[in-house]
Amino acid sequence: MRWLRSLMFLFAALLAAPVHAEPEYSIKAGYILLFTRYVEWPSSAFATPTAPIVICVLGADPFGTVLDETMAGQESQQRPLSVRRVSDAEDAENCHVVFIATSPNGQPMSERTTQWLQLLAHHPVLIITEHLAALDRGAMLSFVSEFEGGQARIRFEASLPPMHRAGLTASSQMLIAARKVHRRRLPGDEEPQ
Amino acid sequence: MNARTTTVGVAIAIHSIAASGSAQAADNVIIRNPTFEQLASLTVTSVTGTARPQFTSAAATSVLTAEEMNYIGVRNIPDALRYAPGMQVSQFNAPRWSISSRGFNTITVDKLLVLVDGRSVYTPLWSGTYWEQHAWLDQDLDRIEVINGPAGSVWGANAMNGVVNILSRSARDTQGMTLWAGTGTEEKAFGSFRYGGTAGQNAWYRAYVDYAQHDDTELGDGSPTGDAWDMTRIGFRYDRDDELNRIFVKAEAQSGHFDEPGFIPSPTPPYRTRPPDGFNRGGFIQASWARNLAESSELAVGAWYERLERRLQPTDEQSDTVDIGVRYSRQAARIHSIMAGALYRYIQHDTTSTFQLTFTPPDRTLHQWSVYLQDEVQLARQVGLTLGVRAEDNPFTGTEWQPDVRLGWSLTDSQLLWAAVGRAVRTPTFADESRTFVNQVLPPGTLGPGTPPVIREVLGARDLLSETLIAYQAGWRGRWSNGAMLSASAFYNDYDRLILYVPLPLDTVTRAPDFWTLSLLPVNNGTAHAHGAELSGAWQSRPRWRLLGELSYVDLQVLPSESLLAKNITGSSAQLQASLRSYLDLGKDWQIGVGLRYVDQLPALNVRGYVAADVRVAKALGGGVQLALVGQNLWDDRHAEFRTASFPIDPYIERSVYLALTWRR
Repeated sequence: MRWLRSLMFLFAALLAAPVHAEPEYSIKAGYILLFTRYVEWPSSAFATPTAPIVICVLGADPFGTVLDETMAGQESQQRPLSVRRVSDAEDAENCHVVFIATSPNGQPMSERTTQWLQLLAHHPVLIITEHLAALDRGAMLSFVSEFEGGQARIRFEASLPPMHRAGLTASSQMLIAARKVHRRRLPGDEEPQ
Repeated sequence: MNARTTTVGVAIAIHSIAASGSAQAADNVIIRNPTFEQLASLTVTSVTGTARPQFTSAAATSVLTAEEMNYIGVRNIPDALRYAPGMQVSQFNAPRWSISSRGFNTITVDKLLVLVDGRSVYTPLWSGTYWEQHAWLDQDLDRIEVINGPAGSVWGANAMNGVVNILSRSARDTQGMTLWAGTGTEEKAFGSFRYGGTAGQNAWYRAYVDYAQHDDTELGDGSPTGDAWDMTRIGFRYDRDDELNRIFVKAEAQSGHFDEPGFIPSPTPPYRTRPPDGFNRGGFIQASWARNLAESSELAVGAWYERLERRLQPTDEQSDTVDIGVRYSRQAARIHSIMAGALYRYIQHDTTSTFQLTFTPPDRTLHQWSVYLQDEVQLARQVGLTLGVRAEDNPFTGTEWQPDVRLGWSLTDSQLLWAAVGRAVRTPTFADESRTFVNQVLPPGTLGPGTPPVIREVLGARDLLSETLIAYQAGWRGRWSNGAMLSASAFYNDYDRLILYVPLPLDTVTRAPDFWTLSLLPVNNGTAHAHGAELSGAWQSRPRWRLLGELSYVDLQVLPSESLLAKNITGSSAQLQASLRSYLDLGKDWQIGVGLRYVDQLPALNVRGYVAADVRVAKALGGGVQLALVGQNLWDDRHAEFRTASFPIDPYIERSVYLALTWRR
């Protein structure tokens, strides 16, 4: 089985290959821009009628400069957009959008993420994660990758109960684009009949 | 027009970055003026698997995604199931597989429930699955979910040793055109065409047709077995998903033709004859509607009708099945998650009698109903208890109860311990009750000079009880931040009232003077215990390389040990199985998938242990075209996976290659 050994060697060689930034974050940044246009915040969430919509990356930042470049010069609901990076939930309470990343390897939701979700609950903050499981624990939107033919499409799912609790409304145009809209916690995705 | 150009431009830009392998900040793609449709249509290259939502379920579950299967060139569902822990897949000849979970791997596996999009596809005749009809892994498969161990409380009788749930994609996710064609040494010719479009707001459809022609397996002397077959399917799916409703309609028709190998018994010299060619024709229509009633409850109704006309040795049958189900689920105060449902099934099943196989009476009507209730109680933040029970009424044994208790304990967010105890039954079937199956006709003189030919047959019996199982299981799952995942489960299964056969004394009266008869009569005199474990893991050290591994062990003892059938069942399950899969994206549009498998010997069937390797190399050529070269069973020239006295032939599975072309737009 010499060919097999060669193949194993190839894998080993690849382990040393450089890892590049994932272009999926260009797409996710595009989505976040759109979310700021289709989600309505209570007016109390803004100090003035022209105050910016503040988009925060909480914790690890997988975007590099992509998020800033995507938002640069853009406006949503007649408000400018501002991007910030914050390291804990208290700083994030004044944000309008909070993005919490997970590792590109599909790392499980950490205790820290769970804590953040609890701390941010009931604040008028649109919480976006990359974990569907987070939708049960207070996240409002979650990115999900759909795989087909070695390619992935980036979609999102939405959970309405936490949005209602936080006083946010998502337009139906946005919800139609969601892969799935969770209206409650389901016992399981697939049902016997 | 302008928007369209932008979309294509961005797609190409993203693609080139993915291929370059070393994107700098300066190369960042920035999407200007995005729309939801545009973002959802963009693709990125990836080998990362889908999220595994079953992480928190208190059962031995695993998921095979279509993506994972395509990546290693798997072309049919049985081959996919070889990579599910706890499953044993033994291909007997070209269109016949024996597929079992946790043992009992016979030619008529009757303790596994198989569903396609929630539609039960077991045959009421002997409660097995006609795999040839569901084997083809089409381009619209989403995933296969496998549950090892009993799941009778939710899924009903026959979900005794496991459930295989084959799920196709929503029409929403199969928009556009896909053309797929290929050829190879065993997969002679195959192709499919699918078109998906929108049907108004929030509604989507797809229409598809596929065809596959499979070559013969090989006999011991290298000659073809004579079991080549082909199957054509044409189908349609409609999905509607809005704020309140989820509606899904699916219809499909299939027609397959089968060469039949070997010989079947005959009443006249030389007491055996060539079987007629086989066919499998039919179709189904299925619809379901789920509606949100209030903040936290849902009502779903579903129904399907299926027609089947099938002649494949040893049966010749026609059936009509109607199934109607209703399910209500409700989340109460975040503590209780209640699911309740009822199911009614009507089956009209007719058989055409042959010398080899007759049913008395040949035509049967079956009414079957069941109700089930399940409550998932959150006892504490980390502890969930699931109580389930199902009552099922069948015409053979009356009402059967299948209760089930499951406990899940989340040690941390990334570790789960679970344990379960459940009872499951396998109800008797038409075949158990009313069959006369002639195995063989021994020529005159076999039992002494001047004796007539002797028919060896298996009979049915009217008073059989359900086979029962009490299963004890426990498991653990863990995930780590570097993308590693490990799952382990162990079980002890205690079977009672298993249907085995006792030989009747030589009958020199009933069919005399033409024949004497040696009969086997089914009785519930078997017991069995099985213990075993499954281990599976995933590891991704790099975004572009992913490894998956599975290990399964089962030790099954069927008693009484003096029963030939008991000995046979004991020795036809592979004690040890292992598999390893590697998914590698080389960049520059190259993909390499490798699958390696080991299956232990089947001592009772004289089948040796074997290793098999599957390799797929694919390259995207641009313009939505992908070319793939696949080698299957590469490790050896050929190997046998199963033998059975029911079919006195000795087929081997050969090494094979195929080439496939996919075009999407």
